[in-house]
Amino acid sequence: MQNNTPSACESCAHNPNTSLKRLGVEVENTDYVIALAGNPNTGKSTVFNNLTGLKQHTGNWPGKTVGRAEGGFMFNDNSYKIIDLPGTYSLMSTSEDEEIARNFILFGKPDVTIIVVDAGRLERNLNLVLQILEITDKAVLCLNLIDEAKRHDITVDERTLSKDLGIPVVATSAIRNVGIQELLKTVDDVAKGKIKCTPHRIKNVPKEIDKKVSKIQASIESLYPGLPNARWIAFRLLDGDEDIIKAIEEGEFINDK
Amino acid sequence: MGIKNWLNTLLLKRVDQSIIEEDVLKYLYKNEEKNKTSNFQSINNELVFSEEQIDKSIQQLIKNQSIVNSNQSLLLEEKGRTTAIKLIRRHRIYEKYLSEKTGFSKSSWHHKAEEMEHALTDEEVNLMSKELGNPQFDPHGDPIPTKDGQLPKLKGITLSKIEHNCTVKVLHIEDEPKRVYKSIIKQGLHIGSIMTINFTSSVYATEGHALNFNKKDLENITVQVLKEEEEIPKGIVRLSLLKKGEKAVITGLSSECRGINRRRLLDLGFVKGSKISINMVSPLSDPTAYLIRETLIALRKEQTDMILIKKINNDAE
Amino acid sequence: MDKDSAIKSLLEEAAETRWEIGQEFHDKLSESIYQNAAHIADRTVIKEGQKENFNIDRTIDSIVTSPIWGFPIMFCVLAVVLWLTIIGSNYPSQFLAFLLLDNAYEWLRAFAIDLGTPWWLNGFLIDGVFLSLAWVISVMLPPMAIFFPLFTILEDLGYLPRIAFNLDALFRKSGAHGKQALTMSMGFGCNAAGVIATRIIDSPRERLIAIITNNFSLCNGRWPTQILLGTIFIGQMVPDSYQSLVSTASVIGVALLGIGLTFASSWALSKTFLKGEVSSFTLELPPYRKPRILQTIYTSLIDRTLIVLWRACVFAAPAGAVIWLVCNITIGDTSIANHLIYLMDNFGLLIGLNGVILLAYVLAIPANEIVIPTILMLTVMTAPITGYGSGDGVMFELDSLGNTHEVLVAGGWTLLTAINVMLFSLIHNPCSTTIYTIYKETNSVRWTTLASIGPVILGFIVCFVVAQVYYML
Ligand SMILES: Nc1nc2c(ncn2[C@@H]2O[C@H](COP(=O)(O)OP(=O)(O)OP(=O)(O)O)[C@@H](O)[C@H]2O)c(=O)[nH]1
Ligand SMILES: [Mg+2]
Repeated sequence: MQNNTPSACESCAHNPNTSLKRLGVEVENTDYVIALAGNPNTGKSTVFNNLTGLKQHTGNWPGKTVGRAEGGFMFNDNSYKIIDLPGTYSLMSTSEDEEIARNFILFGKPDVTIIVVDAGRLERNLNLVLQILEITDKAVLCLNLIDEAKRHDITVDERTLSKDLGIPVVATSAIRNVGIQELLKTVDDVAKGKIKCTPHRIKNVPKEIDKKVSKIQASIESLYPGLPNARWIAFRLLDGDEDIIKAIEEGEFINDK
Repeated sequence: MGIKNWLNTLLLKRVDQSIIEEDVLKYLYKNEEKNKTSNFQSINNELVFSEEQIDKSIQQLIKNQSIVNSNQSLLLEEKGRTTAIKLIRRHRIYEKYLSEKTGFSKSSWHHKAEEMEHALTDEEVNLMSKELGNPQFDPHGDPIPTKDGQLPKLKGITLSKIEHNCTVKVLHIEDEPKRVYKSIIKQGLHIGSIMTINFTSSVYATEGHALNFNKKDLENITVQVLKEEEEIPKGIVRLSLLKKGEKAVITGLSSECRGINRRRLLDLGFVKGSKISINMVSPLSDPTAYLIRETLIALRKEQTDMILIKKINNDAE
Repeated sequence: MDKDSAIKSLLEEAAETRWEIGQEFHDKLSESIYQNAAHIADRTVIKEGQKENFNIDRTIDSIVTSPIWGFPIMFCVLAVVLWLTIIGSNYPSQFLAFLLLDNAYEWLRAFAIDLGTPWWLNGFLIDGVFLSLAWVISVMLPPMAIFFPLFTILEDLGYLPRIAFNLDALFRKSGAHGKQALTMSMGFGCNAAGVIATRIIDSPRERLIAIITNNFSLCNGRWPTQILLGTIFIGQMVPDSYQSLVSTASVIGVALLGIGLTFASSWALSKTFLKGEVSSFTLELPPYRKPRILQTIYTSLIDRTLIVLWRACVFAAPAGAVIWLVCNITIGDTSIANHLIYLMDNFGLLIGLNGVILLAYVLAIPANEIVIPTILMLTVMTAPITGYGSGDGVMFELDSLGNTHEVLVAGGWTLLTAINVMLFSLIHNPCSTTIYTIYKETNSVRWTTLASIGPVILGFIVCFVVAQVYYML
């Protein structure tokens, strides 16, 4: 875990190297693909609009975004494609929105997943964060709505959080354009491998169950060596997730990096 | 999950003479289980088909060696028994499917399954069973026959036989006849619930509710008596009994809370150990919005019946 | 071992283990994840005296969902939004009509005559395309430019989920899902958006109900019709000082009727084609947030209003051309339009409308927001009014084209016609975009057909009944 906030100069908005160029919907053949995931109503679409200059609808109620939207931007001479996913509470049920989000993170294999959370409701949001971290090991936590949390006298210890989760954490207030530069810089670093993530894995699963999960996980790993999310797939198999079963039958995981 | 799949299950139908034969076999099997004998007359009384139809099917069944006629009573042969068990498997798996994957009301499951048990093929049922994780019990608590025709016996005793004070776990609620079943359901009894029986006070109580059963109801409820030394959780009530201003900890979800509904509630943090309190009630008194893990979530009354809580002292916190 | 059999044995192993663990698994896993989350949150979140701050939210909530104030507040919010829209759009509408219809139109015609272009080209372009565009802009732009920002501000405040919370008991009685209140509200903006928003409803049955009944939410394309007719026919029955009040009331009445129809048709559906019970209901109520007024006004103007207006114009321009053509191509002695109007007039009058209106609805099937402009065009071009214009189609001489009321009265409109057009515009079929969206979301021709044809039939029935009652009085 070597995440660290870049120096003030690097992340400063006036630094010409870190200039953001919005690309709107021109998103053919980009260098990197970024996914925006998170609970409903945490400001994903607001972050998306901020980065791409597009006008994805936002609104203060859970479920505003359905389906997915794509946009692009340039940062530090690299082009990025970013996908705004519908908000979900978890990746374990089977509603249409969840499937879209889950399938993109799992099969779309984004270079970086930005997990947008509500700083004022961290505990609830971590439920989803922990699930996403089982699937992907390249993620950045966007601690959004920091202004609202501050108004409610809630502070989050970003360093401890980042250490516990094993991914970089950036505090933002997307609607006021606070912290976006730093978010971009961090995403860029993770995409290029400058920051290595060592994501948290779900602990204290009851022993008897954990043992069985490990056994299945081992079988999966021997079938697909190097698969980063074998444990999560084991979870899903034990839950009888039809999509995952089908994906395994059709060998979807074979070419995983 | 799609609207289309769900529509398809609605539209599947098949009308056939073999339906009567299958119903006859099922009836014979159930009577055999109860150690009762069956003959033409008893079948005719039970089934809704005409005399000729029933007679014709019995002749056909005898001819293909599914049943034999000995001393005026009809007995199942191995072949007939297998068919009957398969039929029961189809029925119970389909009921399980309805309970997990659709939004039909409890009291309509049986009726729908009565139709579908004749229409579904064994492969379809096996697929359904696989998708459901090969369940062992149907939603009423009845054991489901396995693929190779094993039908485990239902454990436990009927509630009517219990005459001393004790604590029991509800295993099974018989869904026939419909009238009795509806009256039990109206009391709000859930499968898997812990029920206390106390003949000095209000006899039957579960999860904070007193229950008033008729004589008939008692015979249709199967329970398992819990031993003293087993750890029986105390003070567990339903979330619907929580009052404004009170606080509680969730102890679990009732096993009647199924399918997508259960998953949603778990996702939203209705898991063991979450603290919960009422924030506000809708102007028309339902739904209620609860504060749980820093968020307001509104639920309807039916759902709060399926969430089990333990109240905590206001000052303790 | 080769890959295929390895996969097979893996899946079998998983299935077996799943059977051993049973239902418990999902519960246990959810529990552990939440425990993990709580553990991490405990270490990292520092709260100080947050109670007071949350109290503001709680106080607002206890008022807007109180048994006494909950429903009156919802009603007032609707009333205020509509009232602001009506009084606010009155003057800009008149101004635009004056500008585009009374001046620019005349000027263009004069200019064309000077230029000496052939009469049919002038007619086609100026009397057809330009006139219809002018009407679309003057009728639609002002109300939308006011309504959309107001609606977006409500949305950003976080009030919509509270409406769902308040109304859920009614939806429940209709066999529907409380979140349908959200999709219904979205429908007030645009039905197609409302239909897509139904994805927030988890269960297929309730979702279908929400999709099919969304048509009864008065969408942006139909607000201007209601507002225009409410103002010029119903508002004008009373003294000036009450005018905006009464016209607002009439529009609110129509909107409420739409909500009533939503409940009624949901109920009817859940008793007939879509039997069953609501399987799961959870509704998160987000915190109130301060909307950013200026930005909202800017984006909803650029983003929504202009897009919707553009769409209307795209449909209106060719429609205007077609209208001009059917009015000017003659079979025998009369134009095609007059033939058609004559054909439909009897049926139209039976249900309190007329042939012109029915023809307008047929011509405006692609986008029914242009119904009113189409009606105006058709009326102008075919109305049996003495006086001669230049082309065959434009036989019209009123002081002012911008005075919609006079145009319509000249076309034989009465109070009944206005009321019935308002009703029919509320009830009739969804627009083509919505129909296409319904098809995409349900993937079923059957439901799409029901959702499109059902309302038309209902609309005819309602208009018929109203007309008969009116004739009797
Ligand atoms: N105060 C404040 N409000 C914000 C911030 N970011 C977003 N919002 C507001 O929060 C609400 C939700 O934002 P969205 O971007 O629509 O949220 P989302 O995560 O896309 O929501 P879904 O699409 O429903 O999953 C909107 O009203 C935003 O204006 C922020 O940093 N501070
Ligand atoms: Mg969004």
